[in-house]
Amino acid sequence: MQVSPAPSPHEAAAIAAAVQALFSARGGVDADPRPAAYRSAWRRAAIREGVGLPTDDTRSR
Amino acid sequence: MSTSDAEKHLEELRAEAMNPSGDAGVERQHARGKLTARERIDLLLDPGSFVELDMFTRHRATGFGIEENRPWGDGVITGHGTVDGRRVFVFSQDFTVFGGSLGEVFAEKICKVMDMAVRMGCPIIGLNDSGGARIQEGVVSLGGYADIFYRNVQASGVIPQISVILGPCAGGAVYSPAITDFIFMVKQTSHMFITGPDVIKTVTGEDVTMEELGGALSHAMKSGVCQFAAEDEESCLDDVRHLLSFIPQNNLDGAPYEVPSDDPERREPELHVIVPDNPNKPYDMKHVMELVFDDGEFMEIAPLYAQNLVIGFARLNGHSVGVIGNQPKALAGVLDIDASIKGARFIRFCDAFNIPIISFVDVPGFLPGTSQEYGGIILHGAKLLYAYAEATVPKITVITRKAYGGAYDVMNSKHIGADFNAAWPSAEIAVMGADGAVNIIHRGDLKAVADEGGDVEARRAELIEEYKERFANPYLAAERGYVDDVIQPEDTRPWLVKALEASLTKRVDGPKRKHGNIPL
Repeated sequence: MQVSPAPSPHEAAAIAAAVQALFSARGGVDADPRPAAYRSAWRRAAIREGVGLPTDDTRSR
Repeated sequence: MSTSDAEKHLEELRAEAMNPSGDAGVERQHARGKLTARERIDLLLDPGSFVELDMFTRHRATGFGIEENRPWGDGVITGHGTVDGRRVFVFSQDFTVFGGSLGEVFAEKICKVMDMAVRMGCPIIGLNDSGGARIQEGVVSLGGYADIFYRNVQASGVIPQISVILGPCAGGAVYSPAITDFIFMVKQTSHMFITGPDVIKTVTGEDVTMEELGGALSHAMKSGVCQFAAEDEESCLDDVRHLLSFIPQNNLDGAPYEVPSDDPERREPELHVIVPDNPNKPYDMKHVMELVFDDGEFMEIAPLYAQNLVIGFARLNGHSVGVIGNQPKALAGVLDIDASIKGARFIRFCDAFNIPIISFVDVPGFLPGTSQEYGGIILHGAKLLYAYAEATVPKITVITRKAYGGAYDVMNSKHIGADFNAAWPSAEIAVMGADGAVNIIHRGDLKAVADEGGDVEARRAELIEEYKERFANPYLAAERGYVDDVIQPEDTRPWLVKALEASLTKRVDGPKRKHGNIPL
């Protein structure tokens, strides 16, 4: 990404803060680097069904 | 006793427990070419991560003078720590204490740490170096073994279980590692057998050395009991750490994901020339795998056993996958008893632990012969078929060349539940090879040519070419949707990445049952 004209230090800090805030709103840059499929409820349900567990009960094993 | 004295006493006891056999015991262990139980744990786990449990346990046995010798820990070190930051539970048998023999308390410690591993949903790793049952404790020792076996079975398919054999493991003791998912051994220093060389000599008259009978290479090459035969303990434990990087913590976790550095769209020109024009010429399927998967990395499992079927772990765009491939370089990639068993067990592990399976197919069929038929190839081949069909994880297949007969069906065909199937243009999906088919279909024609004194071989060659043109290609299968696409070999990686990522949310609702009845 290129920012033109080059920002002043004050502007650069503001841009960095805005980007940081954006990432934070999404759970942080490093919160979970896995693709979205890994957080899919469908996928979670598949794994639980695979071992014969109800998909809506997250407590029992 | 004052508080400071009590604290000092604790430190004295701890120092004693840390080294129950003294320096002499450690030296004897090193002289055998082996590391101590604690040194092994230090090599296996992340530095400083080990937390020991039950350091102050001692046996309660009496008789034969054993009550006079009650070392702290009772000959096995148990606890938990991390490997690459992921929690594992571990036990490490200490050969310097009673020869690592298993008694009541020893078994209780192992059972306790196994129970914890299951409760916490973490892998259990057993470092085995034991002379067997503690004879002074009699049937209690046998009960201890059975308690461990029972837990091995209960934990199977719930948490990964890894056995590392670093010394003797004989008699009934072998059945705990046998139930676990992977067995690692070290050449020259680890041995596994039901009955040793002396008993065998007495009963059958056979002369066999310890190493020939139960050494790492014997089990890695002949019996298939162990999957890894390392040169030394350091590399063995390093292999364990590497294996763990591909497998999840338990059966409710997905397979591990690593942010990839390899381009998912990478087209690999070398794949274009890897399959020889002559269908009878071999090539190396492992090389195909290395060209396709992330950074050329492929961790082969059981590389010395049933080499006609390659199995192992790799990453595809960061996703951990189980990989199976017929190996044209060994027995032309034919399926036999050993390969079927090897593949079936691996598939079941992957399925139990939510690891997608990718299959590369170049299979001329099942191995003919009386030894295979009498050995039960029907049942054993069915294991592979059953395991593939039963698996509900994402299943993806690439047919690179031959996919003949029943072996086509077995090798993760669309018909037994594969999610995505592709074939290279060089694929031959047919009931059998052209030569055999022509000899059957055109038997009458060829006989007539022979009766008329014609050139039978010229006619046969003509018919073979006709057959190949008509049947030995992927398009008849593609017409029916048995393969989803015919792809250029160099597009294999991008195609596989898309197929895998499309199937990561796969959900299969099968019939409910207690368990199936795989033909064991």
